[in-house]
Amino acid sequence: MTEKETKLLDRICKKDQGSFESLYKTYYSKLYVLAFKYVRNQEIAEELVNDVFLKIWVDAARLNITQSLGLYLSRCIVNAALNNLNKEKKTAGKQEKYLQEFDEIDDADDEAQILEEQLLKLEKAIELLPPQCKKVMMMSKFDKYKQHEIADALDISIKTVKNHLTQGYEKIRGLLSKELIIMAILFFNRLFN
Amino acid sequence: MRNANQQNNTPYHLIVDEIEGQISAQDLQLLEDWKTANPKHLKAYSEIIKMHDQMELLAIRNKTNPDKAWKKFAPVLGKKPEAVQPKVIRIRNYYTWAGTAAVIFILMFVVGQLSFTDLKTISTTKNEHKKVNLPDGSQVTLNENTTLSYNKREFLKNRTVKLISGEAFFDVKHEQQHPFLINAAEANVRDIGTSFNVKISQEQIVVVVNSGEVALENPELEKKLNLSAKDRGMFNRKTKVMTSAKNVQINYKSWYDQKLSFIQTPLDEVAADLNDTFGTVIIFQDPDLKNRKLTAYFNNQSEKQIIEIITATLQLQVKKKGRSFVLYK
Repeated sequence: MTEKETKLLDRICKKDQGSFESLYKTYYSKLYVLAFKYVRNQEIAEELVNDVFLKIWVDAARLNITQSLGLYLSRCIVNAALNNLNKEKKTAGKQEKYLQEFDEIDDADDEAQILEEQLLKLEKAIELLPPQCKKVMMMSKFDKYKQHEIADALDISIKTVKNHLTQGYEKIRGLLSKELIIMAILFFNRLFN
Repeated sequence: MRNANQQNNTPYHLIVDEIEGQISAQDLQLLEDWKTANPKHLKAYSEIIKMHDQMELLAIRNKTNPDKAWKKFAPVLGKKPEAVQPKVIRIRNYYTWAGTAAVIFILMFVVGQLSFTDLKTISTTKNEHKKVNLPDGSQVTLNENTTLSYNKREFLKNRTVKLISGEAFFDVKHEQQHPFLINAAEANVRDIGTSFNVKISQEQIVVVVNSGEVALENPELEKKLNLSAKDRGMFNRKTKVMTSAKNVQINYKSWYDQKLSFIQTPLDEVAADLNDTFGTVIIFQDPDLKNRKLTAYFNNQSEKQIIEIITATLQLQVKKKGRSFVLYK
């Protein structure tokens, strides 16, 4: 833990609600998305996140956090989410697949942080799309509009909407892989300097 | 062409169709063929699916509101810790561990009492029905796309449920001391021991009473209507007008009990009721057919059986086309 985190946790041990509030607000979105990635249900995700924070608030003095706070919180969420999934295994099917995928994740990774970074990269890639294409993608993916509704709203044909979506996916994928190449170049540059 | 940039060969349009759930069987086969043709294809495919999934996660992330979440969460912490703290210090001198444990126990108890899980919310999605047994033995059946909530802890004292959206059929246990109240958007439905159907739509809130008596109220305008069995009460959400009439739509609860009755009913109305009940789509090849009259009673029969009975009764032919039935002479 950084010194800042240790101090923050100290204050939380002393039941300083203000410090706890700032911890909550700093990590809430990240942890919520991570929980949702597993349980695929907004209510349950919210419940899991709140349970984890509650445990911190009640038990702060007895926590023994060796790595970073973020990593600790991520692990708590993942464990809580997996427990929840095991409980509801009857409705598995789709989730089984996620479980398998998640098992490969290294214990030392701050999953919430990794996911957060991936999502931010994706958001940046969407920003770089041509304006109309970006609009169609946002309406479809973020506002959950159906193709014909987008066509009506933007006064274009359904076929055009479809083309924008197709291009959107293709371009974003291109941008993301370029990003990887740039990062690799930067990495090697640093390595050899 | 085969060695061209692989990126260009990726059938994005098929994958987009599949993601949107509107891919044709033929295209699906094409997509499957492409996926299996080359391990690289499968990798590209799962990359795109993952991208799609992350876009959903991004949408969820961007809709989170830590400030709002905190406001909802903070009351759970209560003001107790500060009041309790001096005690902890004193106790610590004597029974450090026992004291700490007791405080934690008390805190957990307080937290349990205030727990956010007390508010129980039940939702159904498209084509889903759900039967809910309330703590008092009353039963609610939710139609598709419906959300209902109630407070688990308070319910036995204060029988209130909130119908947030959609349609539900209530079968209420009568209890003299504890009236049963439903908050249905701007209207309240107060039951006096009965079964009835409540539906919230964009324009109106409709209550149809199956048995017993019900009061439909709007607290804001202090309007109240008493409804008895077979009455239909309506509250227009735009004009704020409340009206009642004898219910003429006998099949209003067919979604709930799969009972449909038709008395000299024109076929297009029959089709509409079947659509409400099963989501069946009926196409009339000849517009004249819409006015043919049907008299029949169906109880718990499948959509296929019903169509067979209709066509046999009226001596029509039927062919199935995708999800819909085409009727012709």
